[in-house]
Amino acid sequence: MKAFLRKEWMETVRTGRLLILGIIFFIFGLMNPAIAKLTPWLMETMKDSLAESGMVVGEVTVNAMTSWTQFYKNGLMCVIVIVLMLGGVLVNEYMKGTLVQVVTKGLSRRKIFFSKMITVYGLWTLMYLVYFGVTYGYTAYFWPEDKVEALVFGAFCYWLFGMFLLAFLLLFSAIAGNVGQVLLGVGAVTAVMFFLNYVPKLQKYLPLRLTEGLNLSLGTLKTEDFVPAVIISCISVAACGIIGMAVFDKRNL
Amino acid sequence: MPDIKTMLPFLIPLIVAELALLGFTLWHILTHKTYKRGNRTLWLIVAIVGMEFIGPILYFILGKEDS
Repeated sequence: MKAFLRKEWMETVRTGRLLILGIIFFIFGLMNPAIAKLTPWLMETMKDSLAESGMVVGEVTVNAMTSWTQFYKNGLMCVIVIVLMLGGVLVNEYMKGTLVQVVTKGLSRRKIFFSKMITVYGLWTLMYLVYFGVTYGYTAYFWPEDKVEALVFGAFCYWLFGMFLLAFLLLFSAIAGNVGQVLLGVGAVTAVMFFLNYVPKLQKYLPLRLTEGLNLSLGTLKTEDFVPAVIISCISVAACGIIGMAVFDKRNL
Repeated sequence: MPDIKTMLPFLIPLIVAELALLGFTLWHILTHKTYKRGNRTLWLIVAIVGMEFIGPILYFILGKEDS
């Protein structure tokens, strides 16, 4: 299994996936404080055209909060990018038939699935750390005196949301036959969540709640409001892992 | 525009990232003989002319052969 993990890692590096993902997340991380820093200037340039339509721009103040607002807004983009990039992680191997050799050489299917899980979750965690780290570093550099509440927990929630979607990605990878089906499955899960989010009673329990870390920093939501969603996400991640493994055991490679 | 000094902390890492991606793309083009479409000269030109991220991205989407 170690050899298989090493092979996965080498593949990620050799195909340049690691570098490309790293650069993308780095730029995303960079954009948050940069946009915050540029907002006053943008407003300044648009002042005249806004004045014509009757809007008056007053003094614009930006602080660390502006940067973190961007952080939560762009978080969804990060999740989308990682899902698109990793959509083929298992499926492409079915198509090429490379897994058949590994299985006939005696590596158990569970170990294959488990290695893939480690790779996917590991990549997401690494990239999220890059994203968070860059934003954190720049924000702390530009606005050293601003304190933002509950940052780490809010960021952790977003990370867990990514894990939740990736767990479904792996589950659908075990079921589906091509990349399109996997992405469709993950999209469907997201769509259902957005739909259920209209029911006020359910909002508390949906993993979608995890993306609202901003409200935690603003003080409109409390940590307790997140607990049910966190628990449900953890259960789904575990359940997807177990079901995925069971399905993967039976399927044709 | 805020003066260039305040933007430098953003610009320098961006330039580094850009060059890293360009270097990797060039290495990839030069170590592969066949491409999905086009030939080596074409992709070298695209990668270098569009080096502000767009060229390398185009190459990886359209030109890189599946291994």
